[in-house]
Amino acid sequence: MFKKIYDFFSSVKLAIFLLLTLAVTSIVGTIIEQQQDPEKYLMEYGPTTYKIMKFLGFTDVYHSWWYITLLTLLAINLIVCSIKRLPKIWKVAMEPRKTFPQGQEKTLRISSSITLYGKLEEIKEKLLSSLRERRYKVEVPKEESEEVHIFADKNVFARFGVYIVHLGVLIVLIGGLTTAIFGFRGYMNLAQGTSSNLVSFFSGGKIIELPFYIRCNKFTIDFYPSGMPKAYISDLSVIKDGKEVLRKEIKVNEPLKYKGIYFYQASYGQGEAFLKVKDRNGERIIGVAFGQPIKLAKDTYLKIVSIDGNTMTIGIEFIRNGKVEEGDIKPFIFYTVPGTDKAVAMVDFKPVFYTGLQVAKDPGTWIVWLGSTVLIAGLIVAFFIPHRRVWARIEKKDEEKVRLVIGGLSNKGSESLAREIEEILGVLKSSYCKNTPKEEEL
Amino acid sequence: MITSVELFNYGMVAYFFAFLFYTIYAFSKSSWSSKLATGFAWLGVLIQGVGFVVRGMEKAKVNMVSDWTAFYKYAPFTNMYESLMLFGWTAVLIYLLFEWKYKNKAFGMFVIPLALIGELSTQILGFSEEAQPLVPALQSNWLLFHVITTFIGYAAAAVSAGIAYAYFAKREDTTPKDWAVVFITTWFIFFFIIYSAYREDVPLYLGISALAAAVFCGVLYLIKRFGISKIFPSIETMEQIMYQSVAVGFVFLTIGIILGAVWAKYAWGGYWSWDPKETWSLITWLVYAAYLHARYIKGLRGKPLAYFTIVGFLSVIFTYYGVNLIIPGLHSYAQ
Repeated sequence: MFKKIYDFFSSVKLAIFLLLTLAVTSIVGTIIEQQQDPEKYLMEYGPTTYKIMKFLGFTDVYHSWWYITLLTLLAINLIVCSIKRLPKIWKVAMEPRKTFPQGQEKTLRISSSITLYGKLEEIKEKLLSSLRERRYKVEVPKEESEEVHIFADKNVFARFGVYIVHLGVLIVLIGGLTTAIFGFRGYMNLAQGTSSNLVSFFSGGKIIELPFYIRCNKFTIDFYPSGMPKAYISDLSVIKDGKEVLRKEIKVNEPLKYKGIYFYQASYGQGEAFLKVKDRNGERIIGVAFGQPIKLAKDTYLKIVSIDGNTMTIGIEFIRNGKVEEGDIKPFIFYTVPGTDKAVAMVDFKPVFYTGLQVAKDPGTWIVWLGSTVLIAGLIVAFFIPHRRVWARIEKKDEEKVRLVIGGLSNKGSESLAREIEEILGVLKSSYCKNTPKEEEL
Repeated sequence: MITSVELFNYGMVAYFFAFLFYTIYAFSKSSWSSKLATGFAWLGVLIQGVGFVVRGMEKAKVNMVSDWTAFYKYAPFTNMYESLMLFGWTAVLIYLLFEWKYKNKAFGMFVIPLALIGELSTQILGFSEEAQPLVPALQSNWLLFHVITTFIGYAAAAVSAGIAYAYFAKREDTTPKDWAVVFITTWFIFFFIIYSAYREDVPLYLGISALAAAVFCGVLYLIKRFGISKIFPSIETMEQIMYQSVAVGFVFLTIGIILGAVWAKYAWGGYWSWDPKETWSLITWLVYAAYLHARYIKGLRGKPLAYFTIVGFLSVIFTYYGVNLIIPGLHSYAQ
C-alpha cells in the first residue's frame, strides 16, 4: 500500500499532469472576476449559476479547496520525486568509474586517439596541466610504467541543478503558505490631519487594531502639464504612545515600513465627515475619512461609506464582532449605538481629499525572495552549466612513443566538450608530434 | 537631434536588407551575402539599441526629469509601440546569438521578417509613437529589469515557435492535420495581434487574420513543396534549437516573473495579487514547466515536441496581448 502511494507520487507523469491541470484551472480565475461581493455575481450570473460557481469555488479559485489540494499534491510529488532520484544522481555524480580500460572509449559519445612522440611521464604531466588550466579536477586512478589512466571532472554540482530548482519552488510555496497564514492586507483612509490605528479588510467586516497610530499630515497630487497625474504623495507620521516616532513622505513604489508593517500609497478619495460622539463622559468631535472606521467600544466600529448630497444623510456600516449592518444617519440627529452608551451624529462634512493607504504585513515575503533566488540559481545551473568528464589512457609504445586515447562525456552541449578536447589535443600535438601526426577516429 | 522613432525606422531598414541578403544567401550560399546579411542584422540591432537609449532620454524629458542619466529609469517599454519595438529587437538579437552558436544562417530569412512585421505592425495598426509620461505605478527602478527579462523570455518563445512552424515544412510526413494545427494556431496569433489595435468588429478581424494565417501556411507549404527546407538544419538540430530556446525562455520568464513580484511588493503591497496578467504569466510558466518535464522523461520528441512548443507560445501571446485587452486588471496601463 505504502509502496503504491510512493510510486504514484514519484512519477514525473503525475508532475506533468498536475502542472497542466493547474495551468488550465488557473484560467478560470482570469475569466470570472474573483472575490467580488455576492450581489455583483448575482446580478451578472443569476442565482443558479452563482450557486454552482460558489460550490465549485470559482469565485475564489486560488483559495479554493481543490486548487490548494492540487498545489499540495504538486509539493508532495516534487519532494517524493527528488528523494527517489537523488541517490541515483548522487551515485552518477560522486562515484564514477575512474579508470579507462581498453574499449571503454567506445561507450563515449566523444573520443579520439593519437600517437605522440615523447616520454610517457612528460605527456602525462602536460595533459594534467592542460586539464587543470581548463578548471578540471584531475585524478590519476591508474599509474603503471606501461599505462596511465587519467580522470578529470568539472562542475559536478551542475548535476544537482534540478534539485536546487525544486528546492527553490518548495521554499516559494512555503513562503506563500506563510503569507496566507500570518500575513494580512487591508486599507486605511486618512484625511489630512487625522490619525487612526484601524485597518479594514477589503471584504467582510474584519478590522485590525495596530499598536500604533498613523497620521496623515498632508496629501498632495502632482500633475503633468497634460493633466495626467504624476505623483501621489502622502506625508505620514507614526505615532506611538502619543509621540511621533517616524515621519516619511510616501509615494507609489515608495512605501513606509514600520515594525514589519508596510503602508503603501494605493488610492485617494474625497470626503471627510465630522462626527459628534456623546457618552457618559461628555462630547467630542472626530473627523474621519470615508471608508475609515471609528471605534466605539470593544469590537464595535462605525464606518461612513456614502453621503447623499441633497439631504446630507450619510450611509454607514455598523460593525460589531465582525458582522456588518448597513444604515443611514440624518444630519444632526443622534444615532444611539446599540450595545454601548454612545450616540453619534454627523455635524459637518467637507469634500476634501483623503489618502488611501494599503496596509500589509507579510512575513512570507522574505521566504519567497529566498526561494526565488534559489530557484533562479538552480535554473542557471541546470540549463547553462555543463557537467563534463574526461577520461584518458596513455599507453607506452616505446621510450619515445605513446598512444593517447581520450574521451569525454557531458550532460549538455557535447559539441563544446568536443571542441575542448580538440584544443587539449592541439596543445599536445604541437609539442609531441613529428611531421604529420597519425590520427585515428574511433 | 535625431529622434528615437527615426532610429527605430533606420533599424527596420537595416533589418529589411538583412532579410534580403539572408534570402539571397539561402539560395546562392555565397559568402558575401552571408556576411552582408549578418552585418545588416547586427547593424539594425545596434541602431535600435541606441534608439532605446534615446527613447529613454526623451521619456525622461516628458516626465520632466532633465538629468539624461535617468534614461534607464524611464525605460521605454510602457506602451504597445515601445514594447513591440523591444519585441522585434530582442527576437533579432536572440536569433543572432543562436546563429553565432550553431553557425547556421538558414532561419534568418524567417526570424528577421517576423521581427520586422512585429515592428512594422505598430505603423499598420496605428499604435501611437509618441513618448508618453509615466503614471505613478510605472515610476520604478524595477521597470527596466522586469520588462527586459520578460521580453527576452517572450522573444525566445517566439524563436522556438518560429522553428516549430518551420519544422513542419522540413518534415517529410507532415499531414493535413498538422497543417490544420499550423493554420489554427497562427490564426489565433494573428487575431490577437490585430485585435489588440482595434478592439472592435471581431468578425472582420477574424477574417483578416484568417487570411494572414492562410498566407503563412501557404508560404510554409511552398517551402516544403519546392524543397527549400533542405537548407534548414537537420530535424534533430531543429528539435535541439526548439528545446534550447524554450529553456532560455523559461529561465528569463522565471526571472521576469520574480522581478515583477519584487516590483509588485513595492507598488501594490504584495508580491502576488492574482491579477490576470500575473496569473497568465504563471500559466505560461506551468505550461513550459510541464514541457521541460515531458522532454526529460524522453517522451517528447518529433511532432508532439513541436505542438507543445506552439502551445507554450500561444500562452505567451495571450499573456502579452490577450490579457491587456480582454481582461481588466492591474496591468491594464500597458496600452
